[in-house]
Amino acid sequence: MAVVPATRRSVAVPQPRRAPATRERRPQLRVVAEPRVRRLSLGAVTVLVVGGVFAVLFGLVVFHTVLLKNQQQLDHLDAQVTQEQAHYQQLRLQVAQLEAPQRILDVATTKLGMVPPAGTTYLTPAASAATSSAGASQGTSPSDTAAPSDDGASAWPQVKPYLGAAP
Amino acid sequence: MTTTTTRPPRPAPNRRKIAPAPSRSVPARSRRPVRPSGGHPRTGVRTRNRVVGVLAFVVLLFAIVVGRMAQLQLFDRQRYTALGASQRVRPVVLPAERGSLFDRNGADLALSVPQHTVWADPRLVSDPQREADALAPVLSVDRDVLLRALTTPNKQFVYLARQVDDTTTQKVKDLKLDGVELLDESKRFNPSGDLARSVLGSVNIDNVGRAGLEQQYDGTMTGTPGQLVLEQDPNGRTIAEGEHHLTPAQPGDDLVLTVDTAMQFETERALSDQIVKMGAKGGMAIVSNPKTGEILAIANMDRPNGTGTPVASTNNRALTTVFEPGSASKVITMAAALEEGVVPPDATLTVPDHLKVADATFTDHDPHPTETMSLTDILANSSNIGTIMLGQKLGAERIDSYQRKFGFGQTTALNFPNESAGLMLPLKSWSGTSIGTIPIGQGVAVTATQMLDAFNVIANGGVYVDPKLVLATVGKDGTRHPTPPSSSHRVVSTQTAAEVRDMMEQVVISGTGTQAAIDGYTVAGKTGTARKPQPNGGYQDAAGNYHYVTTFAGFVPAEDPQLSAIVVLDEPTATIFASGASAPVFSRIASYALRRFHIPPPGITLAPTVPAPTHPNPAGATQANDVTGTVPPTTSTTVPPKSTTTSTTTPPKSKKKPGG
Repeated sequence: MAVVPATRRSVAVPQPRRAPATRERRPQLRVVAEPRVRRLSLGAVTVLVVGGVFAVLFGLVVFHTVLLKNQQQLDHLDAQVTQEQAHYQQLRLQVAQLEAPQRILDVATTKLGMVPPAGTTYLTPAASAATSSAGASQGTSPSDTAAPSDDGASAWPQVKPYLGAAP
Repeated sequence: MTTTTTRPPRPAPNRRKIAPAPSRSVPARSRRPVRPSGGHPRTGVRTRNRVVGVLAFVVLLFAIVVGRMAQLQLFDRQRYTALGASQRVRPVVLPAERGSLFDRNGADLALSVPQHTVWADPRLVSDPQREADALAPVLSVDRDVLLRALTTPNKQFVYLARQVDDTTTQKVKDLKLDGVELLDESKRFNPSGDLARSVLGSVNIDNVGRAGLEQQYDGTMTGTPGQLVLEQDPNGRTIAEGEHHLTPAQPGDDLVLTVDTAMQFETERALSDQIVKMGAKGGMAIVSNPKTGEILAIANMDRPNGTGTPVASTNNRALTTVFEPGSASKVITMAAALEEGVVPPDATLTVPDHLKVADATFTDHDPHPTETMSLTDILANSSNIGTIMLGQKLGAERIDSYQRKFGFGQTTALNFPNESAGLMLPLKSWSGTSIGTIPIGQGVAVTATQMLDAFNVIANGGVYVDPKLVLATVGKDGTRHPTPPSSSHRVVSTQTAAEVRDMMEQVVISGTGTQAAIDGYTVAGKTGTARKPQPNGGYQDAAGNYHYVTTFAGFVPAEDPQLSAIVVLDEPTATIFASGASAPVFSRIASYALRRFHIPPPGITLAPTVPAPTHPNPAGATQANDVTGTVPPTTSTTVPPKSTTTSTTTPPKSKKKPGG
């Protein structure tokens, strides 16, 4: 609706009757023009709506692309975890096979040329010798000597919960 | 000149009445000229009909579409939903990892490792001949077998090769054959080969335990399979916002055994060497901790044809097969006689060379005149007659009762698959000669484990301790759950046990078991040489020959037993006596065990020195190599422990005998 200037629309408004004494103190009133509201044209609105729709669609596409990319990464990580778990088990088997007593015996006798001792002589220390030996080794802490070696088996309780099968 | 006729403009159809323009002073909104209304009435009807027709057609099309949609969405909804889901939703079974078997120090004895299984969908195989030709050398499977599998009618799944290694898997992948796929499947491995084979047992191709501990603890070691339901596109990629439900697989529990790998290996090796040396058919050996009942090694070796190198038996004969213990059983008779007070410990008996019992005449191994023997003499020299005389004093009921109290005639707490309870005659079935045979270990059959448990009673001061093979289980979260300590019950008094133990020391010092001695240590033990029953029911084979089973069981150090062991040889031929056949193996095994487990000679207390290399325990135990846990790392020497019980047994006569 078009805005009509207030000057044109001056309409005689019935004034309330006032006392003559107050008529002279009437403030200087004037009609103030209503601030003009700028309205967008239909074309601009259309451009904005279409642009907005495209922006939303583009955002959705970007979001979906990121989602797909992350899912691919997740799949890749899953596959990698499975692969590493299998690798861990393979290595564990390999270590166990290398530690097998029969293999060690074979290596000792065939590769290293070791032979079983012809006879074993056992020395029984006298009590005094045992005392001095014990005194000499007092500096060794039992906790030091009993420390577990740093091989794979020591980590087994920590590793096992994470070895669940995965696709 | 061309005459052009122009048709008058057709008036616009008078579709509706045009309202008269409002009488306003403002100009009309549209400047378009108002078309005159009206027109040919027939033309308007035709047009209307066309429009109605088109509309009807469109409505009909829509009705069809809506109808079809209703059919799909309302009536066949479930069918099509399932059809769609089957194309994109893929349930994946997550196999549960079977628990591992560890030795007492955390060394792997059996474990499962992921492998691949090659399978085929015959419907998708394009060229079976070519694929069979390509796969046969890779899978090492006969080509015709593969061809049959690849052409199997009406099947969507056939195995081609199960649990193949990674190299083979890669070769199959490289072939890129139609309809040939791979499947994840784990395979059971025993990294130490046949070590402790009879104890560990085995699993079948489907990883189900079928023997040994694998069978006994199948339920514990078999986990719970999980499932992953996810949506995938045709290329196998996961649909990001699709369905995704994960039920994780629960791996099975691990078993930590009481067995020590090194001890087991040495026991098998020593036993094998002696089997070959003695020309025996096979043998059994067990090493245990008498205080806890823990079995440290259990070896079963066979020579299937009686020749060649012994191989580890698949049958845990130490628990499943019985033999007549012979003189080793005299320990029980002696303990019963002392416990019941039928003879005092310092008693002497007048022992003849032979004794008639019912219709049978029993003799000692070596002829001797009637002589006076102490109880120690009787045991140390393994006198049949002296033991039978004790048996006669005891009576059948008490002999039977004590043998059962010592564990004969019942399965052990191990509850091992196919474990034998042994064979004991019911009292009412005893014949006249039973009072002569049973006290000396004939006419009764036991397993090697039962016999060792009986010796452990003496080692433990008269207390029977159940044997034990599983030290702990390790749960799916890695938590170690130790098994409860073995239950125990008293069989004879401490006094009686000490008296018998002293007698058994004399067996090794000056009796039939001298070859079981270990330098620096005191060994208590007993030999046993028993005739072996033959399939025909008697003790002689078709050719009239006797066959023997030799036994030596004992413990060390005698003053404070930390280790006990039994060695049984089946039909040794180089010598038929336990003193020469079984006792030396005991000495070798026990010597190794003493070093292995850091057990000092009597009177010496170990100083804290660097321990032998050991595996950390799977659940974090720091020093699992100490089998007893009773050797404190003190820095002092102690006075040699002496028996706390006063023994009144008399020293034996120095008369070494070859037999048992």
